[in-house]
Amino acid sequence: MKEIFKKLPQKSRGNMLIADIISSMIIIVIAFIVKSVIHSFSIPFFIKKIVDGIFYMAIVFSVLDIILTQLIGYQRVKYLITEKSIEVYSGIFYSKHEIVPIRKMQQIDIEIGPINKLFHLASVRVITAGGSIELEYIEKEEAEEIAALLKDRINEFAKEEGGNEK
Amino acid sequence: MKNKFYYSKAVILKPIFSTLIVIAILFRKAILKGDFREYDMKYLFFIGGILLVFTLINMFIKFTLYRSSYIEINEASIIYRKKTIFSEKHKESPLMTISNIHLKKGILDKIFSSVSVHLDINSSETASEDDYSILLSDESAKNFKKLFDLYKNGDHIVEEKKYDVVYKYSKKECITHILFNVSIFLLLFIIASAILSISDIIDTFSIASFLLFIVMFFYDLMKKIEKYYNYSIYATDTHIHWEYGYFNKEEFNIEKNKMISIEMTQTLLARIFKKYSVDINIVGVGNEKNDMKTIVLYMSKDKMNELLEKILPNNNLITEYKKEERMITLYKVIKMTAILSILLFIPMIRAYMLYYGLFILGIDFLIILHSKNLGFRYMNGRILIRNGLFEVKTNEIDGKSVEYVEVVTDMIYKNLDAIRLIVHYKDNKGVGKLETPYLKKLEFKSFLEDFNH
Repeated sequence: MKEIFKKLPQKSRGNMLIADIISSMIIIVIAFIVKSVIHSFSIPFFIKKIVDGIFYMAIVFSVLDIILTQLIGYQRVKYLITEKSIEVYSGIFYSKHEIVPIRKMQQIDIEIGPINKLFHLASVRVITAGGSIELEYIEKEEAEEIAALLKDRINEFAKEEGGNEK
Repeated sequence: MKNKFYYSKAVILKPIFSTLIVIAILFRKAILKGDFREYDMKYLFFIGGILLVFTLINMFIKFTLYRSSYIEINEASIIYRKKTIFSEKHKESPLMTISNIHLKKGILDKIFSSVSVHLDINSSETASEDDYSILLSDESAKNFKKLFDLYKNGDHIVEEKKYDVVYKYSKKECITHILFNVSIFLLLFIIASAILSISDIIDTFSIASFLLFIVMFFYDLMKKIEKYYNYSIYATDTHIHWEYGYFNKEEFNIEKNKMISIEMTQTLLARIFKKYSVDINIVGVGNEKNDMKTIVLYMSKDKMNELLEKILPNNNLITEYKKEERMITLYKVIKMTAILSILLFIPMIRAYMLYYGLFILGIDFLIILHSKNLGFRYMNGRILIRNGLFEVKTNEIDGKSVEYVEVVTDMIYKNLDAIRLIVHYKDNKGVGKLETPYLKKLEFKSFLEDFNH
């Protein structure tokens, strides 16, 4: 099997941006509601100040997250499919390297969300008995190719193991 | 020997006791006084009538269950048929998928000479529920277990002499284990609320919380006494069997090859007195998250090792662990101090600079303490990870049971050539996760090579 070592397509940057903006907006709205509810009670001044601080920190971190994902996060994501495993690299502050052997894979899902649809992108979810990892923001055709490839390899491993058991 | 086992008669009689308990709670004052005159007769008839109707309906349902529901065992499978007037259920599982048999005898079961038999299937999907459960008479339960052992293991493992290891914990050992398991935090809460209750700031809230913590403490203690009373463990090359409990006597029988992990624990108190306890985690067993079975109650290292060598001779728990390097710990301390110092920009925190400084020092001290407890080792195809701050746990899992691995590092750790692994494995509830300390890349090399191939 040919080894694939790839980075995300350019257009996934736009998808990441919209997804991050939406999730940041949700966090900020929730933080604002919590802040308003707490302020409506007659509680000590310093607690109100702490709540305000947390609210402003949520805004700062959300904006920082969007900027850093665009500048660093996007470039750090890459994946490698070898004969025996799938490896995903990601992370901004920490670098994360996930390794899943193909023999451990149980299910492969392709997920396409509403924003993915706009950019013609998809996610491949690799499920094992101990959890799952996700290959996000990849071209739809490529996702289908990867899923088909992995399914074939899983079947080959299953046959090999079945043969060994016999 | 017959291989079809029907429900015990106790299943019909138990609802009567439930009704009597409800009556006792409703009319407790009158029962204690021995005088029912304060109640209106209409009220008594109404309540009595409702209870009678419910009891009769319940007994009738249980009667149909008793008449036509059964569990059947043969060389290949277990079959369970449940039939009541409302529903029918038929379940069948290959015998090889049953991971353990569990017998439970409560107070009512002692009166009616019955035993609750539970069977767990070797699947994490069904771990939260009883896969098979039936109330049998003492005699039937005994025969059922005999047949189960015969068909599954090709042998009768019912008599003590058949076991290679028989260890009955003494009362002193049971009490020691309970004491080392006492929740330190609950004790601290009790002391704190007691101080508040007797100090100048006495109020109803602190007295109520003190009483609540006391009740929680004693409830926890009673549960532990009940569990560890008469704790006994038996083992063969292939199986481990437990027996424990006073009011509710329980028995477990599991296959060693269904074991997922071994866990050695030391609570804060146990660390002071250098005592160790060992639990095991089995696929399909238990109804709670991380429900584990204790094989070694708290005892000294030598004694634990001696017992463990008999029960699980292939364990690697007592070994030299690779520890976190000083440079890595130093980096952790500097990083945390830097992060916490950012908050000094907030004027309100700056006003309490001295206390905040002490707080940061405390956190740094805890980081150093935590780093001392961390450890990793990969040997004989098994992964050993040591972790914890006050309570230290050492987990041993088979490298083959690891499903996927995350390798984590950051810019500075990278310069120190250090990485950390997050190991995901199949737990009794599906997903288990263990984190290694930051160590030199080289220390993980052999594990990652084995894992990839």
